Amino acid sequence: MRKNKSIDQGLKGLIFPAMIPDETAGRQKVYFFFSIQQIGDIIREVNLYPVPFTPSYLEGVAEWQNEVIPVLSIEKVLGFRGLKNTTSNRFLMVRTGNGQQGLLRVGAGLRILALPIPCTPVSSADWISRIDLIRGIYKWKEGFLVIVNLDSILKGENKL
Amino acid sequence: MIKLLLFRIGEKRYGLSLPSVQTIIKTDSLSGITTIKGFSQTCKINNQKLILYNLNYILGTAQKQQSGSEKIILVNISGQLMGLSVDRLDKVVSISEDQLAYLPAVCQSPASDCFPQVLRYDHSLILILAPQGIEKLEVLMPEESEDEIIDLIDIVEDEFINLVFPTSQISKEDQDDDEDIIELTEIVEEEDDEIIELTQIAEIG
Repeated sequence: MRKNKSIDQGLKGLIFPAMIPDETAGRQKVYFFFSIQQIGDIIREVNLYPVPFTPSYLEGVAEWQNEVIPVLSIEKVLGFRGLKNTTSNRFLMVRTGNGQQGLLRVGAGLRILALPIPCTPVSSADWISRIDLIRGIYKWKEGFLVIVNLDSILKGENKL
Repeated sequence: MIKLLLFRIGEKRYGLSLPSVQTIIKTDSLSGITTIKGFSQTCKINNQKLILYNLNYILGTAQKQQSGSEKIILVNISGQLMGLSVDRLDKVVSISEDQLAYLPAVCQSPASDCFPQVLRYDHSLILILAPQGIEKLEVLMPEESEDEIIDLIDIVEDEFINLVFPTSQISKEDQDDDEDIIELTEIVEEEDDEIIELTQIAEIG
C-alpha cells in the first residue's frame, strides 16, 4: 500500500488542465503542475513567428521582455494527440533555474493552489508516451498532477 | 554595426548576412529558367557549378504565381558559391549586435542550422538564414545528368551584378543602359536612412 505524500515545491503552485481528450487517462482529469518559482507571467496574445523545420510541438518564437523565447504546446511535447482548445490565446511564461524560458499555450482553468497538496505518486502511466520528460505523476482528489522536466524540454532534449 | 539583406518568401521576411552576398540577379533575366522548380537546381555561372536553392519551395509557400520580382542571391559560403531564389528583395539594414538573439535551443536541428539567429527589428522578429543549413536539409534530390545542368554563363554574362567590383568601375552610362542591374533603391518603396546604396555594398565586396 502506497503512503500518501505531499508535493513540496514551495508555498504555492500553479496548475492548469491539459487540453487532451477526456478519455486519455481513463476519464480522469490531467493537470500540469508548476511551482510559483517557475512561472514568470500569464500573457494574453503574443505575436507568434513560426520557425520552419521545427517539430509540431513548437509553435514558433515570440518576443517577451526583449527576449526571444519559444512557444510550445506542452501536450504535444509529451506526445498527446487529438488536442482540444488549441486556439486559446493565453500563454504561460515558464522558466527554469538555469535561465531557460518558454511560453506554453494554455486553456481556461489556471489555478493557484496552496501547498502541500495531498497526493499519491503514480508508478506508471501508459497514457503518456514521453515519460522520459516527466519528473513525476501524482494522483490527487481531482485526477492526476503531472510535473514535467521543464529544463530538459527547454534545452531541446526532447528530440522525437 | 552588422549589415543584413532582408528578403521575402511569400509574406514572410528573412535576413541574410550582407558580406556573404556576392551577386544578385533577376530570375526573369535567365532565358533558360522561367521558374525554378522543386527543391534545387544545378547550374553553372562563370564556369563555376553551383546549386540554386528554391527558398519558396523550401520554406513552404510553394505553388505561387510568379510576380516578376523574384531574385537569385548568390552567396559565398567558405569559398563555395550557392544560389538562393527569393520572392522579393526587401532592403539592407544596419543593426547592432544586441538586436540579434540565438534561436532557442528547443528549436533543434535542422531549424537551428538554417536559422541560428533571430533579428529583433521594426517590432517584429526576423529569422536570419544561414545558407549552409539549407545544404544540410535531408531532402531527396534526383540525380541530374550533366546535360541537365543549366549553364548560366551565356545567359547572364552581362546581366548579373558582381558586387565585387567597385561601382566606380561601372560608368553611369553603363548603369543606365543595363536594366538588369539591381539597385537597392528599387527594392524599397520609400526613403530609409538605414538603406545602403549599391555603391556601399560594392565596397564591402
